[in-house]
Amino acid sequence: MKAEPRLSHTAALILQAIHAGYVYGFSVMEMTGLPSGTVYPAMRRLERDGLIQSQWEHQAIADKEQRPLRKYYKLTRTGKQTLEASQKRYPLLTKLLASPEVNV
Amino acid sequence: MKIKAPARRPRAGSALLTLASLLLPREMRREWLTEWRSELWYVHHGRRAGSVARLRADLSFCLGSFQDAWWLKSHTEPDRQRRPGLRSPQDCGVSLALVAAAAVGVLLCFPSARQAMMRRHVVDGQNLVFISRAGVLDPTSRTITVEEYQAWRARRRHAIGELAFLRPSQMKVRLGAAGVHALNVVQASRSLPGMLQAPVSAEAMQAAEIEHKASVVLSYLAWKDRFGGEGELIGKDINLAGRAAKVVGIMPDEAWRVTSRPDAWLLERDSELASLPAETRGLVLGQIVAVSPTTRGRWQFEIPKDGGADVFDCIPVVDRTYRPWMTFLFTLLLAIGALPATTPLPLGDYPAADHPLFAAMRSRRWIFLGMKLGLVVAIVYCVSTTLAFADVSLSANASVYIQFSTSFLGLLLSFRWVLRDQRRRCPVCLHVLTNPVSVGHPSRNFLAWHGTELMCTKGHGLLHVPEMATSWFSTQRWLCLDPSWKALFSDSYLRSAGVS
Repeated sequence: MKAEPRLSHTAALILQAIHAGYVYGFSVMEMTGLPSGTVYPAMRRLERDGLIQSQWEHQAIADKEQRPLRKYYKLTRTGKQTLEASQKRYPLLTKLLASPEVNV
Repeated sequence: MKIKAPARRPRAGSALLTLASLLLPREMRREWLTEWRSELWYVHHGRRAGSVARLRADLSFCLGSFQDAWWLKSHTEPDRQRRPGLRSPQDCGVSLALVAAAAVGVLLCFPSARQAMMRRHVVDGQNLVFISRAGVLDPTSRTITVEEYQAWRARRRHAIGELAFLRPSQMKVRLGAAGVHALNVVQASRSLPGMLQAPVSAEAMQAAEIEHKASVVLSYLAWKDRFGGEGELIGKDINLAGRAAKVVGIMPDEAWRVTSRPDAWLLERDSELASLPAETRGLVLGQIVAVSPTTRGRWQFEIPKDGGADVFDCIPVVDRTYRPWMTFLFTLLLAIGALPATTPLPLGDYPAADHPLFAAMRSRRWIFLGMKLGLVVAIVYCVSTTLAFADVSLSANASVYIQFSTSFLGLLLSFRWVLRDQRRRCPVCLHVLTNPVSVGHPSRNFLAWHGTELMCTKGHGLLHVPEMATSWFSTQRWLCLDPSWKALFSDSYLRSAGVS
């Protein structure tokens, strides 16, 4: 049986934030209150472990809104399973950040 | 996907991001920068324009980029480590040889360093002495007054024949289109070129005499660097700190290296020296005419004065001559002496010395060690000589200190590396051993491991390195693996470990 990755509280919080619809680095920072030096490396780790995946938005959308391109993150199937396990381990996660499903 | 760079981004933050991106491998840099700059744009525009809070938010956000870049760098490093690098003896030898060739090349690019390396003997160095006041540590310091020098010249001398007074100073020189140069000039007696056997043009000297101009001898380096090696310079007039002077010769480098390296010698008549204030101090060079066992080393003479006597030291110039290889040899001995304090000297136990494969490779192992030692010595010699002599404005003493410190540190560190590298190599194939494993029972020895075990990925053996000599081996020990282990070291495994 494959062992579930056990996340630290910070990593679980970031995963929960992405799940709650804060799908780019800066919004994760704002919602969790964590500094950029923690959030971005943690997101790299989560992506490396296959819990989240990133995708650049279409250039046309950014051009239309006259802003720079954004890189969005979303949970993978494994990420969702790991988050469920983490929510059991850290019950306050769901109370800190509600979980509206967002399709990006 | 083509990524366009975001427009109107904050400059300070963007510069910090660019700096952080340098930590990353080149292929990752562009996309990483695009993401961070994009995020910075949102951070920046989320605050009121011109506010301190905005600047603080920008900077605090961008400082985090260093942690991110460092994390990415450290987690992409294993790919790089898989490359052979210096693991194989061939790569190690070729790399060291290339560095040695580059060090020699750099040394040859600096004429002053090149000449320092090729120095042989001072012209008539055995018969030239510095005359200084007794007890003065540095005989090249200015301790003799013009008055004393003039008095000596007027006296009848037995052991010392010709005398020259020297007074270093800095002057500005103007030569037509060559512009103005600040040169280290030594005011010297006219007898100096003869004592040093330096070639000067008699015609130019005579012309200077007729035209009532001063005579100047340029150093070889000043002639090459400051005057572009102009072939027709001798006989030309230059303006030396407002004085008209004529260039009468070029001093070969080997003729003068007794004190700091001047750019020029302004040859003065004795009458001109006599016009200097009597208390003007300089240094005096003398030529021994009556060579005896006494005059070969340091000796003294006395001049009676007011019921007592003034005592002067005579120090052979050859004692002051600086030879780069002598300093290097001294630091080499010092480094060898200090080496046991930095790393153990034994290369380890090889109990399988009677193994036929090992016996065949033993000489190869020692040749490899000798080659590494030889190359690092050559590299350190070239680098330290270049550093000490590349800058011609440095004094001779500064050059000695630079060469001493750089060669000592360089030799000590490189010898340490050579020994540590050698201890981590398989005695059979000379590849660096890999896959370190901590071994032993930590709980039995103050919660520490007994030792480390390294493996030859070609299957030649295992190396046990003690971390607690009392509970394991006293030195590292090689365990030769017999052919029955070969199955473990398949080609696919070797490829995955980056072994060619």
